[in-house]
Amino acid sequence: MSPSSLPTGRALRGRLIALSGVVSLVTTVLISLYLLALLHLSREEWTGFGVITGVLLVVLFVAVNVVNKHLYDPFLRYLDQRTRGEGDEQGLHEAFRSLMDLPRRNVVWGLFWWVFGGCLVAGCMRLRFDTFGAFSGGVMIAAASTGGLVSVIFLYFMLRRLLAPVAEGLANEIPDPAIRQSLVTPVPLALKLRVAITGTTLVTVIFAVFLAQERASRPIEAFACRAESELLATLAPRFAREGSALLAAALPVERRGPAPRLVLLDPEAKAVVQGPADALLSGELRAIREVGLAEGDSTSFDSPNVFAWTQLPDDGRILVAVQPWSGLQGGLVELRFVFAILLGLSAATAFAVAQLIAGDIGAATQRLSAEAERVAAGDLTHGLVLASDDEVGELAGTFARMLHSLRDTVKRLTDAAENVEGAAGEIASAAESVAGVTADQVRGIQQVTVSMDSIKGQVTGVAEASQALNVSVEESSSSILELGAVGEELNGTASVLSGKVDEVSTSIEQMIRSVRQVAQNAEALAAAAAETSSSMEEMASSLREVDTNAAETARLSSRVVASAESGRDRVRRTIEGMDAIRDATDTAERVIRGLGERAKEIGAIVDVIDDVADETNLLALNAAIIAAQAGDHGRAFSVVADQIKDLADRVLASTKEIGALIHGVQEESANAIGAIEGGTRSVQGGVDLSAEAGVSLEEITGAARESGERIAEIVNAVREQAKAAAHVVDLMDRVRSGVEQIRAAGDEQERGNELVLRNSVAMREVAQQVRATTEEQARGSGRIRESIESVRETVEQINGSLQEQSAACRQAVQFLERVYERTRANEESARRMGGAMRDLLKQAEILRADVRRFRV
Amino acid sequence: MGAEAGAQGESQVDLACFEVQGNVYAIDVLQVREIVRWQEVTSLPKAPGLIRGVIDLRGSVIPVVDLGSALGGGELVATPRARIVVLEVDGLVLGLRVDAAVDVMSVEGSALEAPPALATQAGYDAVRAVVRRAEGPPVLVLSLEHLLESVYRSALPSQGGGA
Repeated sequence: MSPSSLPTGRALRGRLIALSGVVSLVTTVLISLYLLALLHLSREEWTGFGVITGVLLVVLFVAVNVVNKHLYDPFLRYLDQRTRGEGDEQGLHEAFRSLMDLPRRNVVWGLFWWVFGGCLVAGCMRLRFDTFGAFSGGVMIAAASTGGLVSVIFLYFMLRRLLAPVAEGLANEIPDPAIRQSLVTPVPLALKLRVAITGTTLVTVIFAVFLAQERASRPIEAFACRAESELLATLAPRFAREGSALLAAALPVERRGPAPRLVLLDPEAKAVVQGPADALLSGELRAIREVGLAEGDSTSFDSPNVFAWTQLPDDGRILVAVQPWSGLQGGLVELRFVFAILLGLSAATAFAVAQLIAGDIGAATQRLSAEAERVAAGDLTHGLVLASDDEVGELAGTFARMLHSLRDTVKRLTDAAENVEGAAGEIASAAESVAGVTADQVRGIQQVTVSMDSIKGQVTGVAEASQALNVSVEESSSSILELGAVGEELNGTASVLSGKVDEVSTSIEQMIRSVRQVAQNAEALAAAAAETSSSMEEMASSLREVDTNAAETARLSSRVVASAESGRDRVRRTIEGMDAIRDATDTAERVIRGLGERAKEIGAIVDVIDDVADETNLLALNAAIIAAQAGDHGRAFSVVADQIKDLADRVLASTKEIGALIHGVQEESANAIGAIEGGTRSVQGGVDLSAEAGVSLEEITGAARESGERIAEIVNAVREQAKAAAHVVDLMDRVRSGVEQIRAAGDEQERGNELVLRNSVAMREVAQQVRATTEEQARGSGRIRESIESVRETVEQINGSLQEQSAACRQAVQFLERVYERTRANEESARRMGGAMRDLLKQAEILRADVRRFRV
Repeated sequence: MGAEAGAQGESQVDLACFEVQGNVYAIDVLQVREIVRWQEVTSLPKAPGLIRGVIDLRGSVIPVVDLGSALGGGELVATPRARIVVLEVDGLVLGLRVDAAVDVMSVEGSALEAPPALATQAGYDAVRAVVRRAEGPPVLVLSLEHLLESVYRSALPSQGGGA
């Protein structure tokens, strides 16, 4: 199993909690159903039971998970460490041990918790409800215990299934089976069977026992209740007459068993008003209230007392006939003994059956295990015969087949080992003989080498003798050579002469060659001069172009200067014109302002006239009033006054018109002044702009003039350059003419040289004739020398062949040495092979011993 | 009162005409002493109702009434043409502020027409008569009795409170 496929501790913990949670819940539900079938509790008690069980289930589940943490913590921690890659071997062993132990320990702890939980619920119920009797409590604890047992048995197998992949994964990481074995606490199959079968049988039997007791007690209770009801039915009418005396009176004994007691309750059934107060429990009073006050009995619920009640018609009080439940179950006690024996018997039977099955399987597996141990120890002799009809029998058969084939294999292995051993022995002996032969060979070669050395010594002696012969031949040859030497000397002199002539001739030829070279160089010089001259011409023409362009530029720049100056004049004139305009507008403004002032003055005068006319008008009005008051006497005066008033009115009208006119004049003059001021501003702007233009034109003129000067300089420089170029061209022409002269002179010299050459050739011919004669003379002495040479050659041939023989000897010795070395190497490897063979033999021996261990 | 009745009986009546807030009003010339220029009045502290103050008219101090206020309009403002008409009625001298003095008009007694009956029946007596003119709107002849009464009445509340 690969490491990645193992779950992490967190994931496994989740699965474990989920599994145990689901199993606990299902078990609780099943136990509740079990109790529902056996117990008769009031609705209130059932509700209480539900609440207590629910709360305790949650509390105990948490408690179990906290308390039992030590059971699964080691392997969960290891799995987490392993995911992070930090688990060590110690942790692995611990984890494996705890993992394998978990199901077994879970059985013990789980059973404890279930019994504990059952006792806890029963105790709580008893504390809460006083009607909850010992029988109900016993049933509850028994149900929790047996149900818990079944639950933990199931959980055991489910846990094993859940943890199997993880256990296998961890087991793969512990390779040694012995260590694995030591970490696992063995749980015998027989134990598992015994617990499982006995436990499940007990659950069923206990359920049956409780059910039977419950069913048997119900008719008894019903009968008792009916009897009590009948009694009450007869007593109730008498109660009115006899009152409480009836309670104390002895009841007629009409049947077996203890007589019921009579108790009187208040109309609300809250308390006992007459009779013993402890006859009824408070839970029983509550049950009476729940069932109904009118009448009823205790068959519908479980309680320690059996009772019936009826409500008295007179005063609503309740009359109860009651007797304790323990007084009624005489027959049931016997029944309980029977049940206990039944219980014991069934448990014993189940245990015995489990024992038998476990024995059957356990014995077979133990025998198989023993067989396997023996096989592991190497004993293959005994074939296991196990006559069984189940899977164990099949397993035994398979085991036997496996043993058989193993035995065959071992047999074949033994044969093979023996074969190997034989072959290895043969090879070893062959290798030893090879080694012997090789040693012989070495010895033979050593002998050959020694004899070859002696041959070499003899050959060397012969060679020395031949060398001595050679020396004497050399001596005679040298005296003959002396004779030839005189002729040679003569010949040498002629040769010297001829050599001199050759030298002269050679130097003449050399001279001619150098003259020709001079001519060639002069040609090259002429060509170069022509080239220079032409490029100078080109340069001159481009200079002329530059000159023309520069002149053109100069003319253009002078024209720019002229136009800029005329522009400047125009600007100056513009500024002057602008100034004149400004003066004129200033004057106009002044005049118009004066006009405005005058108009204002006229207005003032008109105002005065207006005032006078107004006053006149008022006076005329008052005069008219006075005239009117004077009656007929004032009539004439009244006419005058009217006329004066009319005049004054007309004056007023005229002055009003004049005022309007003056106002118009003033407005117009104000407009005119505004317009003039605007004009003045524009004129000023024009003047400023013109001044700026003038400045720019000045700058342009300056720049243009400067550029004109620069251009003039360029033109001068170019002209000078052109002059220099023309000078160069002249010089080149002179060079060319010089070259022409050289060429002419060279030609003449060449003609002279040819004459000299011809003379020197003639001289060489004469010299060669002289040399031919001396050479013939030399040839005579040469023939003598040749014969001597042939003698010497023969001697040298002899010498050479001797030397060759010596060399061959040396080669043979060397060759022998190499053969010797190789033989030595052969010997060494043969020795090594012998060693290897001996090792092989040893191994074959060990193998055969191993194989022999198996008893087949 | 007697003078007015007498004037009505004569054939010729002279009316001094003046403008107040666009309307032309008239008073019998016999009751006008003179017309003078507008001048600022010296206001009397706690002056009763319509009396704006007093002016010095050639040595004698006379009260001034604003005719605009007296006729129910707003107070008049000073203009070049504004005047004060000085009245003399039964020895009482009084100045009236007007917007402008227009003319002295001489009309036949028969030309004086009574104000509309609808108005007079409702107790209206501020205008005594109406004179039509050839040009312009009709001239309203003021009742001096009514004017003086309204001046007195305007003065009453402060005196009545004391009584």
